Amino acid sequence: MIVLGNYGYLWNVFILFIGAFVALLLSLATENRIVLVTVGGLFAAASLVLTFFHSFSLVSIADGTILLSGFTELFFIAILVPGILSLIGIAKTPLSKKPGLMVFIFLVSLGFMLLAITSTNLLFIFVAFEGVSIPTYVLAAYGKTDSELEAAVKYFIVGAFSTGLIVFGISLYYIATGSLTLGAAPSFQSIYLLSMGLLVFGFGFKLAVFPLHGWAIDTYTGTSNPVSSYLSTSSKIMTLVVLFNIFFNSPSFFPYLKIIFAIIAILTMTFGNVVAISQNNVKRMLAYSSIAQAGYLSVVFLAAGTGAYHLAVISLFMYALAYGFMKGGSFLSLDSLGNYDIENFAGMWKRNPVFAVSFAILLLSLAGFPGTLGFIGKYFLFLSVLSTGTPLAYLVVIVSVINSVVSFYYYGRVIMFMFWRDGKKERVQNNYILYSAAILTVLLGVLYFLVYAFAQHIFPTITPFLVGGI
Amino acid sequence: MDLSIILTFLIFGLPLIGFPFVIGIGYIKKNYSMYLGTVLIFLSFLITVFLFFTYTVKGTVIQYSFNWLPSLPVVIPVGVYADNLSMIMALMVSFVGFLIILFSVGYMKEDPNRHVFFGEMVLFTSSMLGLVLASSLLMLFIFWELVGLCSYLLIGFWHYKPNAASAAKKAFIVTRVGDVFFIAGIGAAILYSSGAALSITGLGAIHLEWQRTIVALLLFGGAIGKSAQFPLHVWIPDAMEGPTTVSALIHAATMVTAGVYLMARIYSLDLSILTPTALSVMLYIGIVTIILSGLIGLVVNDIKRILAYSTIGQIGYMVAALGLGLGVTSIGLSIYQLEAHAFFKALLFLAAGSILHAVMNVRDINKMGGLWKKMPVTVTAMLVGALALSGFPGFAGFFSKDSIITASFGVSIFAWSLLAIGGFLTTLYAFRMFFKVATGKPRSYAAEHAHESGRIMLIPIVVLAAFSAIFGIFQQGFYDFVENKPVSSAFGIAPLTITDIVPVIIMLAGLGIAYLAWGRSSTIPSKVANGARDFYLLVKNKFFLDVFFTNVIAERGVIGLSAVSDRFERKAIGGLVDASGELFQNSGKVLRKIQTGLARQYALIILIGLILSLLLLRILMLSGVIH
Repeated sequence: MIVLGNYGYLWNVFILFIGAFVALLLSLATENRIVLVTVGGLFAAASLVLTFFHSFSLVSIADGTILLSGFTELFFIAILVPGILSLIGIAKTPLSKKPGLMVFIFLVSLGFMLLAITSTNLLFIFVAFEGVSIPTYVLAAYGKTDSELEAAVKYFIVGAFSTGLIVFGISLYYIATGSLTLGAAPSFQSIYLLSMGLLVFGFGFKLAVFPLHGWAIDTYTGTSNPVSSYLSTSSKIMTLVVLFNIFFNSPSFFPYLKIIFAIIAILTMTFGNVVAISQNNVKRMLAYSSIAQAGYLSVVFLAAGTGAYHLAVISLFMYALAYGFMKGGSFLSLDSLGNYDIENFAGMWKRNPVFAVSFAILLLSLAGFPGTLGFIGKYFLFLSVLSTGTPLAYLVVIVSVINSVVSFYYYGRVIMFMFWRDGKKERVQNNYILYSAAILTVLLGVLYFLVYAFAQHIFPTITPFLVGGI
Repeated sequence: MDLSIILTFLIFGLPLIGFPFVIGIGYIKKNYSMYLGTVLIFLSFLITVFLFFTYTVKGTVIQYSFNWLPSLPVVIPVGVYADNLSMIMALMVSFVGFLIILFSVGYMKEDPNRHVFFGEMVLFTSSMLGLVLASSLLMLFIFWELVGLCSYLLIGFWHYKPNAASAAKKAFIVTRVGDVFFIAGIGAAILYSSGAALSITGLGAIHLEWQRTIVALLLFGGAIGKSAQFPLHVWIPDAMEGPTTVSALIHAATMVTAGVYLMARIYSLDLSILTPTALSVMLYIGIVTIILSGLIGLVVNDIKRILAYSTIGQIGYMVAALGLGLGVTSIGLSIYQLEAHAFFKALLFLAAGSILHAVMNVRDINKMGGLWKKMPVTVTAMLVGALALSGFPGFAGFFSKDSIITASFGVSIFAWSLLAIGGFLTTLYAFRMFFKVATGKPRSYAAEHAHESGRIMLIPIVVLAAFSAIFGIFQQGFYDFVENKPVSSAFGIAPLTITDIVPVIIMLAGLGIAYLAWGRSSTIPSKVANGARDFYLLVKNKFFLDVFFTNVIAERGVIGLSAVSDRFERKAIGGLVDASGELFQNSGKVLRKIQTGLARQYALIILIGLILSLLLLRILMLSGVIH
């Protein structure tokens, strides 16, 4: 009998790794993609169930290197849900051989994602972060076409570059504070600030905010749909939470943090939205919209060190959940179509009405249309930032709202093509991932107070780990 | 949360959640939606009965509110408020709703779109139940609009008929005029009570008399639109283009009485909200409506339109009863009339529906006749309905309507005499319709070959007929219950006085005249029509109100105004929007050039960004923002 001690709380992570190896071994026996994806999906779902029923009331593991709390539980859910959606998506995508290997890589990176957001030690975070990066490089390259390889190579090059910045930032952090634990008090202020600045850029690349967005557009567009969905949802939410953990524990960095993220958020969402307008390829449009969404998400950093912190975490969870459904659902739905040109969406209402309605729901949710979870998440997120009451917060929220209006233009364009243009006649396959994502977006959007109550139940008070100078 | 609260939410929540499934299941098999819809409403009814007898009868007011937007500084309550008044309404709505949806199972069984029909009926019933149980004026308004929407959808259910489509549009637009008043009234109430009136119980916080008058009159404006009082009554007769069951449920028993319920609701929560000015406006609007609709009802030949004008008139009695200003007594009189009317008018409509089913939907009463022999159950039920409507002693209408007339005697002799004349007109048109339908010889091929309807349609008719006949025995208990007095016994009638004899005499006179004129072959009607030619034409043209609304207000006023604002919208606002759209599109074309596709340039951009951000950091440090 092995005594795991406190590690028993990490079963939801272990089960992902176990599932990964089960899928790998199973792939020796069968190449049947449905079987392998089902096995992988079951393990991932088991992890989600465990997460739901565990009570993480501040567990410290390995001398506080890993800290579990209601906060981590919330974002376990926000990462696992789109992860499972993308995993199921593999069953549909016309991919190369060896699906077992792909499921293996998926589950391994998912496990590392969960580990990355639990840690309070920069070195541990770095290792877990690379544990996500390297499998996802492979995932992006998982295909035969040139576009997939190109996507992977760009992702890899920029990723390697960022890794350098991270390591540099961590070493400066150690010099400044003499510790690798988050929240350590700096002895050398300017080196500390420099290290933090490097960490923003190092970790920020996976969030794909401006000016770190370059790889994201090519990679999201070029790689297969489940991988695009996975990279733009789970991976992005993980990065955001990691950044959140690092910066909300460094009070002396707050003034600069707010300014730099105000600038980044404004530039990111404006760039994403403005360029998305001129796209005719729906997948590329979705890639740009991912950039814009990252801008909205990073607005949360303006709540650092204020009383709005608690509301900010809950609303970030709601928006991340919404983002997982709408982005995951919309990327994965593209599998039902041969090419992603906007002309190919014409007449969708006649070709498959359910598909058209569900896709329209997800687009409206992305744009922040009332009645969807996307609206609720955005509303609460902006509200939490507004309640800090600083002029900077007002500026950022006003720009965000203007950007949301602009985004209606390109989302609405696709909707217009689907409903009011005549196009091809051939039927479009049903896509049940899309349908369930659309239903959940609306259902949770209408019953948002249940989501809110759930989040508040799990995350009732601010955990001491994330005191963040309040 | 208490069980009673959850159950109260379920009363309207169950059908509200269920209605998409009612439509959805119809795609598997159309008949399933009929069964699912009926079951949902029946469950609502059962829950209401349970709550009524376990809580309301014992004097418990079920009350619970969420804060709708927890993030706002003010509290916007959304929840339920179930006291005696709302529970008795909920009981009636779910009961009549269930009977009518049961009738529809027989009536609509041939229609190819019946799954949509049942979905909309379920949505309507749930919104109506939500309306009566709402705990704030805003929530009430939301359900108010939802019932309006369902009314629109259901009137236009046979939208391929041009009449139905335009009737639906008319109903929507006319009630919208009232809704503007309603929402202005909500705004005024919130403003004058400094926010307290967001909750329905906070209306008492309006202190000044003129403010209360404004709020009451604006809310009454909403009630006029919804409850089809003069001058906004014009939409109901056209609304008869919808299926008859819709007319029975929405345009007789439930939705049209929402306006009366609204006024009774605010009156019961705060007796001072209806100031003397507001009360006399209500009284005389009610009386004008009664007289006008009674006269028009005498000259219309469409069976459903006769019933529609009768509905308008009977609601006029409810409004007038409130307008008498007798405090809780007024509420008791009005709501009792509302419930009694719901039963006998639903009965009359269902009977009419059953007849129309038999005569191939020819609605002209001149083409009927002699149907008593062909359809004994339906037409006997119709007789019960007509007797109840005209207030024959012993039937429901006698206790409800004649009590109102008698009560008005103490308020104003003038009002009393007009209300009594209204009763005379009611009897006259009710029996004109009945005699023309039931007696004499069949006047068309369809009428000659009419057959009695099936059992599923007759059951609701018989149940409603029974209620119309015996509802009077609950009179005193009902009054006490609605007025929040201790109820000694559920049975028993209010004591009669000597003035009660007058309406009865008038009613019998009306009955006699109706028999002389239409009960046998006679030339009296045409002689009267020719004798007072001008007046006849005035009534026949519905006092030219429709013409006035369409030709003067709509075409001269509204269309001109909308042309001007349309031009402003196109030129000024549209131009601005186009310009900003072009700005974004052009900048998009420029900005996308950054996206070269070269990985080394991406790294370069990151590096430049990093250096710029570190420079900014250094500048901020030097300038002392960060230290």
